Amino acid sequence: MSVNEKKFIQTALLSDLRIDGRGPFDFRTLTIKFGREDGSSEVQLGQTHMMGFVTSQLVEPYRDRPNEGSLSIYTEFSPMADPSFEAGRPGEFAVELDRIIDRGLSLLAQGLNLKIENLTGTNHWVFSFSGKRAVDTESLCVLAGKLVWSIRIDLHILDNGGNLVDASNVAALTALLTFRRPEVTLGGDDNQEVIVHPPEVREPLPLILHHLPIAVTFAFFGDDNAVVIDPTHYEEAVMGGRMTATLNTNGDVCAIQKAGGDGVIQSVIMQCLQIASVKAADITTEIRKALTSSGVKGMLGAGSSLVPHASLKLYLMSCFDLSCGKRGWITNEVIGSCAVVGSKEILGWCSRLLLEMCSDSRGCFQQVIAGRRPVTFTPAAPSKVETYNTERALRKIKRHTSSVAVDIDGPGNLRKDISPSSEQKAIGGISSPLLERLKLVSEENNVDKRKHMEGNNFSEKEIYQNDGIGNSKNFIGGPSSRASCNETILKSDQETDALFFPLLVVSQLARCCHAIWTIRFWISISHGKLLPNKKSEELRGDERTSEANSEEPAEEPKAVASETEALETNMQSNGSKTLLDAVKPKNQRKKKAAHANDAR
Amino acid sequence: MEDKASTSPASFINQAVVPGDVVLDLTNFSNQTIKLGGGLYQDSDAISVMKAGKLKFSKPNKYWVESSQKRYVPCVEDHVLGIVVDSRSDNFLVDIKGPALAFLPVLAFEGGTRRNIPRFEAGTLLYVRVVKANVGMNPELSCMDASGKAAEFGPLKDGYMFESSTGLSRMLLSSPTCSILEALGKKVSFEIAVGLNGRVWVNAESPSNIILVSNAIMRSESLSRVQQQIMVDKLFQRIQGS
Repeated sequence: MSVNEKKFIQTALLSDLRIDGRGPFDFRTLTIKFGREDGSSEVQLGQTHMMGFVTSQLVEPYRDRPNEGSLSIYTEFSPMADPSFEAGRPGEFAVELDRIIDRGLSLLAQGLNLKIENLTGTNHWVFSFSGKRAVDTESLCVLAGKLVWSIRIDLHILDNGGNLVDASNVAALTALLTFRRPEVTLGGDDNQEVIVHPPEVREPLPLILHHLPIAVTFAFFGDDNAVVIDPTHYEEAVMGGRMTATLNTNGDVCAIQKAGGDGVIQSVIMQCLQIASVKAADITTEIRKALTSSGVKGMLGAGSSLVPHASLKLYLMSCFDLSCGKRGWITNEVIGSCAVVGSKEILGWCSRLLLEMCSDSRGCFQQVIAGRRPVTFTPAAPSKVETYNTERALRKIKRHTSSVAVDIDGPGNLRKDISPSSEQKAIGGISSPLLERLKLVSEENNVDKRKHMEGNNFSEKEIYQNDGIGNSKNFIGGPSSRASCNETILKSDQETDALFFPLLVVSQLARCCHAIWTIRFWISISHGKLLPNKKSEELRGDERTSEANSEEPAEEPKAVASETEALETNMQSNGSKTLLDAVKPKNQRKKKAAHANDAR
Repeated sequence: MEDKASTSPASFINQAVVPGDVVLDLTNFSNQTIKLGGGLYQDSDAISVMKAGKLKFSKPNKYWVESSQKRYVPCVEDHVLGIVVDSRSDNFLVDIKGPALAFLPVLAFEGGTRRNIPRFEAGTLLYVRVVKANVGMNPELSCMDASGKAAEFGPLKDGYMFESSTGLSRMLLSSPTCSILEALGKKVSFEIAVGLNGRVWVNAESPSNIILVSNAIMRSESLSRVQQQIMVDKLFQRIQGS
């Protein structure tokens, strides 16, 4: 580097000019590209060129953290990047750089603040997360204490045009966002056998990232503390000191690193942090744009805060995985639940999210959000999911409605028929019939619900209780009882209301909640039969009605089991109602009204 | 291959050629002396290309392959910009972006004697001439022209130096004056020193002018004459506007 260059860079900075024509606080153009494989990204920040690759491996966890996976970062300084990078042994500069990059990115690996509680002795977990860690390592746990996922990020520096820290940070984040790990299920007799499903068999899963920590590097020159952002390698050769601030768009400062160099006064540092927060937001939008434009399904949810939406979904998914052994399909009556801390926006996201999940062929979910009371989210595996056509066909027959079908299936989505036997075998030899249930646990909206339900005529066997906490309960009565009851036919509008009930619940709650909520989603899927009066032989084993059940969580498993059996043995033919039915217009309603009138 | 050998060599001039192309057939050239420059290799009667680039011809009989690279291969009589790395008792070690450091004898200055050896610190930018350039040896430089005069050689003060490719340097040094320098010269006054090793030094009164000129030159490498003109016009419109 010639003396002329050095002097010139400094004199130009006195007049706030940089040699490439940028302003002191301008970033260079950031280009993000993705490779064909999941978890590979290529980032260009001006002349600096980096590639990031993410791979995963099943390993034993650390002894002191048996529930967490691990994240490790490796940086490779290719000699083609810079003449000072030697192949093989890294030079002094390379080692220092490696440390800075690793420290900045280790924010990604910090432990997840997740609590897993086992409530009431059943397979009922409560996942609550708070705090802001980037990569959720507890979701990487497969078998506690035995097997966890170890995520490895490899960064390759292809061209050193300055500011390697920021570029490598972006490369690592984008690679993590596009990475998909194989799905793992627990099988075998004692659920200790781990089956890793290849991507052709099961869709691989993304990682859970709570937020994106973005690193912004500042360079200081001369005695007057001239500051520039994103130094080029010329500026780096001339600068007196460097500082890297890592922030996210939630306004948290994740890290500040300043390793040696010129001293800087405090006001300058504060100013730098403010600038960095603006830049972090810019870079986050760039990353999002790149993800959406490349069609890669990233983890970024709607809204400004990334934390609740995407991570909640993946929590739920992962909890299904962990507890269910199969995405959305459980072998046992397993109840997983999750706690979400967030604002009313989050509620909205959660409801949307759960609707999304319902729309997968996992069965129906019904979410209920209790006021301040946790609502637990129970995924139950459906043994069969009806196709819309079957339901339609069944509806045409005069049925006896035994319960409210509260399906949240996503509008227009079909529940697919899956033959129980094959599924059961696939699930791992579960012989017991699977029951889908919908449970409504709602405190505040009990009144509303009752209003909706009141109009329904239920069979005697159907108990619609309000327990002490104000939850309404609804049991599926025995089929014999159903058969005998001819009067209980839901009016279509009520059905509609009932179907929409949870949505209303959610929206009402969303409207009225102000503070931070703790919400646990209690969802269960049940099959139930709505359509009355069909011979059991015809429809047995094929249809189930979805019901709205409210129950104490503790009682749930046992009650479920018993009812399952009851239902199973005495299943009447009832068609199940989906949301689609609810929105189905007049012809059905008329039918229902006609039926109701007839029945009476 | 043989088809190409039979076609006239004129078809290859100013065309892109790749290693392996046979561009001249010496059977057509009886009793003529042909001078081969860089990138060409004689294989009995066929002249084939060794380096990818454009085949150039200069009357009466010079052929060579021209290409643009970031690294410089020292050639005799090239004028280059060097940075002093170290000084020894009898010569300076100068980096000219070549495979080896070049030697600049301490006496290779106009009126240079043992008494008035110049003092160059590490990092000094010099405009020098390559005197010897043999493969495998360190090149030798001089701050005098062939007749012993200083002739603009020597250290360059102030200004700003940037590095680009050898192709850009050749374009800047071409005659008639390349359009980018012409266009810039009409708006800004500046002085420029171009080294054939890809280094360019720019000096002007204000730092903003220096930055303007150097960035404009850096971007003009891939543009045609007309495009360069347009780029400069747009640039100055933007500056005057803002």
